Amino acid sequence: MKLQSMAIIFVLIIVPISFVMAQYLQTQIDTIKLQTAYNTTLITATHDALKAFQVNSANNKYSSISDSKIRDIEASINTFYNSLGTKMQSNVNSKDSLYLYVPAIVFTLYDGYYIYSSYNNIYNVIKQGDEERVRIQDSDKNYQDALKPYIYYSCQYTKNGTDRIIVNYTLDNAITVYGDLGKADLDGDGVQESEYTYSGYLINPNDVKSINNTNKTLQYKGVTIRPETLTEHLIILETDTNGDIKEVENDYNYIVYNNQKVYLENASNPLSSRYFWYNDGEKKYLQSEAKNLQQYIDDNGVGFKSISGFEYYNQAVYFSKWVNDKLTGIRQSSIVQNDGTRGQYKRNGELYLSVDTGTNDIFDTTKANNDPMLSSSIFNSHRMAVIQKSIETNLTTAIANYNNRTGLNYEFVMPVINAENWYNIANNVSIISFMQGMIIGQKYYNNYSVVTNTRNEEVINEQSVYILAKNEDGNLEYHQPGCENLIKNQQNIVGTYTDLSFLRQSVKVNEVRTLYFYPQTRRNGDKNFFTTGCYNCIVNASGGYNIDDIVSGTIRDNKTGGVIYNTSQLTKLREAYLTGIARERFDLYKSNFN
Amino acid sequence: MGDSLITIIAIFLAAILMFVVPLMSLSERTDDISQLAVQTAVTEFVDKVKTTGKLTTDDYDKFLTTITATGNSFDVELVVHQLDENPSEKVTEAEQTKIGENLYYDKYTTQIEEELADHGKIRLKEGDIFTATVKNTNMTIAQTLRNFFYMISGNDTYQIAGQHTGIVAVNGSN
Repeated sequence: MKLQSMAIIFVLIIVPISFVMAQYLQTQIDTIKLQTAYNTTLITATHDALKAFQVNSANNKYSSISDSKIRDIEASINTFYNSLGTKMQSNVNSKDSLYLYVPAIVFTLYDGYYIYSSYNNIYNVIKQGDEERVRIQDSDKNYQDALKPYIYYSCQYTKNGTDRIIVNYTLDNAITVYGDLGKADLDGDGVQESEYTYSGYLINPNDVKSINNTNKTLQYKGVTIRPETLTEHLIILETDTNGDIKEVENDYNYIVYNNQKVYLENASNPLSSRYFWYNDGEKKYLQSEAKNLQQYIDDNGVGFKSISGFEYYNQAVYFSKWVNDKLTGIRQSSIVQNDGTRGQYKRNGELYLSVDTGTNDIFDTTKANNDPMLSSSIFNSHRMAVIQKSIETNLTTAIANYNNRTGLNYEFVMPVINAENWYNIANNVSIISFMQGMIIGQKYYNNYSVVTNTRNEEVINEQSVYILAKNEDGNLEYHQPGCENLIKNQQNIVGTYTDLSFLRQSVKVNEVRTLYFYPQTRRNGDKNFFTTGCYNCIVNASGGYNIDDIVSGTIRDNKTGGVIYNTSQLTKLREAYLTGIARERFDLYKSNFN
Repeated sequence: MGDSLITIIAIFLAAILMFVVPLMSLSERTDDISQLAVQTAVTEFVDKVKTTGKLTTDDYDKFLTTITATGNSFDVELVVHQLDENPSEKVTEAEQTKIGENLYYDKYTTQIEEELADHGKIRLKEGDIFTATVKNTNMTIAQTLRNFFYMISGNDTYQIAGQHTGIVAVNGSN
């Protein structure tokens, strides 16, 4: 064959192949590009939704009340769709068509979660004007998007022949137990109830010793928990005789009473001083409530000091002993699954929960490996697995039901959420959003995004408190509990406060002027002493030891395993941390706590 | 005589056409795909740090494995800009988000790798900025072939690169 013929045959073979290859590769490239773009859009939109939720709930005094919270969540969902719509303008026809591709959004809160998804509303309004009437028919198809009822992180157990033991978990060590636990009179009305509800904090009851109800002190894990004086710096706007507004800055002591901070006007003369609530730069003096408050303070017998830390452990001991007694013997094999199957295995032989806690008692908190204050405990592993199971089950249903609604030629399924994300979900208030069914190149898009919220008033987790201390120059600095500088400077600890109280607050004077202040600034004479973040642990967030080590009392070297600090070298720090976290958890508003 | 000259030229052209051109276009394509894979890996890596608030040895190793799986060697540059809000705290009426009021402290690759080796993770806080840049350090086949025809001089001639930056959205957990 001639060379020319060979060349022609070569070209004839190669050109179509390379053409097809080029096309194929280009499609693949476009797919990945589009997928990456969608991922970013989804994360951004979820993050925007979370910011909206943070801002709304922080500025909403009533955000802890369920109705008001639902409004905040719905507003946040609107933000999500707006943000998603703005960024996807070029890819979808309208904002409304986005609803088609978002099968569910989950809002996880302190003791349960909401799923925003579609449901079939069979309650239909037909015709209009005078002829308007309602038709309820099962076969109707009228899909709407809304929040589904609140679902608790709960798990059912069987014990002593009864299936009616249900435990509701939360993002920390608080639980609610209800069901048939033998007759008892918990509410003290003289009637023995056979089914009842009891909530509290779970700790190791043997860690608490020498409870002194007069001085309100006790020993927890070897450190003394005692009443504390809490202080905040406020700006008060005062109107003088000319009608001019001037600002007065000062420090005030406070306690949390009935879930609200009550400030003492003049700490140097507490007897003749008045109490007030702080609201937008104004003092709102307590009127009729002042008497009850005074009674509460007199009953405590320790002056104007917070005893929440003491109360937390004191109540937790009784609750934990009760739980240890009543729920003893409950293991993962005692679980009653959603479909009624008993035991830790599903019908197909797989484990029901994602974590295997073996034959360990889940509620026996006296064991060394089961202190609920430590994140590595059996209770915590089980708690996280229950939360994951609960969300997974309900979400799978919600997403699968979505198929009935859409006319898309695509089957909605829940994607696999990885372990790291589950850990975050089980320990923080977070938003999980899903987006799927959009055609990208030759496949369909299916992904999710989890954004957690570490600054909120819903939950106090291990790292949500900072410790305030005076450094060697006499200035105030705040630290994370595991900070090396703080450990060396334990003698000068001033107090423990939540991370929220180190954020800037604003007071609006008038339309053009806003004042800012930090509640943890301190006033001395007519000068402000500002509290700054420590450069070892706050600015450089990685410089700190593990908080579990602080709680248990021994800090070990990460590499060699040798002891760096022992219990006696950490006393002051542990005292500050264990009191602070207990107080903040106790003072948190909880709507479902009996 | 004239015929054989043309034949030689034809053989020469055919050789280029049959071997070099497909090889070049194929190797360019490979680089394109590597480029895409690297960019995706960088984006995923940074997004993960951004949404979890921490950088772990695990994630970093996985990221390095993903990019080296393209068959190239890379120069990875990580930068953490740590936000310091302390200066703005001392001014009561300052706008916290205003540029210039806040300072950033930077940490670079070697410091980050050292810390990862020591602690296994680096915690970041809300407001910190994390950047990752990767460039290939080896000669890819496409680069070699191209150098055969024309040279690009200088040290910084890379073919595959990816960069992504993000502001950390949450405080990292323990």
